[in-house]
Amino acid sequence: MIDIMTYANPSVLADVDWLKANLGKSGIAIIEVDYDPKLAYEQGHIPGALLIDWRKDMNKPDERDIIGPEEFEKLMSRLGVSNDTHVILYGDYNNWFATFAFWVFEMYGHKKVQILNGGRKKWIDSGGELTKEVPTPRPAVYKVEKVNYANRVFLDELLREKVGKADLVLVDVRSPAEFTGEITAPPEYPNEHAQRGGHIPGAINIPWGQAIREDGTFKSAEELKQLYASKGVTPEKDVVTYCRIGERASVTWFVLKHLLGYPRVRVYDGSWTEWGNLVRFPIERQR
Amino acid sequence: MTSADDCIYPSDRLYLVEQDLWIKPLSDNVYRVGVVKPFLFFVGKPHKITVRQAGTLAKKNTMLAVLSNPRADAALLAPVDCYILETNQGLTPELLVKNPYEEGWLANIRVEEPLTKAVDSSAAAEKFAAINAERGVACLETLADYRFTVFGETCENILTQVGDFISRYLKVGESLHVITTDPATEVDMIAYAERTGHKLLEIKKIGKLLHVIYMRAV
Repeated sequence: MIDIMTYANPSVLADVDWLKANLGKSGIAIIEVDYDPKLAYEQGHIPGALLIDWRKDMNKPDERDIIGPEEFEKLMSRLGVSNDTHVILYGDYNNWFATFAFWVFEMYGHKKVQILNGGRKKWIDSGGELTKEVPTPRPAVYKVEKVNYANRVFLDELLREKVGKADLVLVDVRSPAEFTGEITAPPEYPNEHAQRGGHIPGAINIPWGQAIREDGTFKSAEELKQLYASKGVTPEKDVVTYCRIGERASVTWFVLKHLLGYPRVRVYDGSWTEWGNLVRFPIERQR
Repeated sequence: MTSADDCIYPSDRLYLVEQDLWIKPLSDNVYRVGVVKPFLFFVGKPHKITVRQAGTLAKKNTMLAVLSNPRADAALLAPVDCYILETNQGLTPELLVKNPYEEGWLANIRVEEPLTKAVDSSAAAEKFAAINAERGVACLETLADYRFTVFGETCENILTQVGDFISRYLKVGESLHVITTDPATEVDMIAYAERTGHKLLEIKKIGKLLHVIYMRAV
């Protein structure tokens, strides 16, 4: 609890104990964001929690992109979330996809959204109640007022900006084996590959998990500052995070942007599955 | 009792299908509880098992145990309010995988209300068969270290991907459960093992899917 107070923007985190004491309170929507709902949400979730199935709900069905503002409005409406609802996100894979969803909620200007610190793991480990009952929310009215792309960077922008800019730092948050090109995906979900292994030239490797404690919660602000500063990722830089499909990159984005308050941090969600598939693009392997 | 998907449900006990648990009465309101075998094939090889501490109360729907690996923290929930009397002190992931029905038991519990939903092994086999089908689970002899679901336009394509997976991720002695559909045939899968020198531990067709387990040997 004390650590939380030292974060730049502590209001983005919800605490497990706080949530236990506030379950069922009106005006709050708890949403589990899963990559694999069968093994997670369907096996037991926080009472009253709704489900966002990351693959189906956060992505467009055809072209590779996250859902647009209209689809986001529809999703919110279906989940019974209105513009004023206090949303608390958590999920499987150490909150990877919940944090990705947070990034999307922020893009579409949702006012009050938080990440449950420690996610599903911490909730379960601390004996939190679970249920298999699926709530049926009453559809709500939701309107995206303004889209804010300040936290997202596309390939063409990255290429334009990178040239001749020494203060842009690329943080590759994948595992060292992915960074060096030994593997192109973690073995737990190997079906989303790039043609080539390696990393974007000049990127530095700081695996996302280095920001997380054993119990799944974020490290203290002091520890985090030390971790990133020691690798040259400092607040005055223009920081871009990437991984393989953007989910782990959003965890590091969340840490740098909200917990440490870096002014300019963007997710390159095209990530390695874009770069590593491009023809005649430079790739670095060993560093 | 063995069901069509080759999962075993011993007939000397009862089952709580909704919770993926088996229970064995020890005395009045006291049961030994454990997890059914197909659940292990659903979650994959656990790296860690957490069982709620002895001497504590598990409220209905809260965790009795959690099986963890890099893919999931899969919770097993208490069917009703119950006290944890004792936990299996020697329990390891290896022991659980070896025999979830005997040495791999989880805990002895005292229930606060009757377990009205418990069913016998034949009813359990029938109900689990539907759940396993929905989860895409079948029981094999070996619970492999990794699992890879692969569909390809050609059998060659499937085998190339299997080969990539083995060389990328498996250490010698580790195993891979391949789940595939046609056009891969049993003959091709066996020939592949002979050609590459990897050991074929198991091959089985269940429903429309072909399940093959290879062990990296070279």
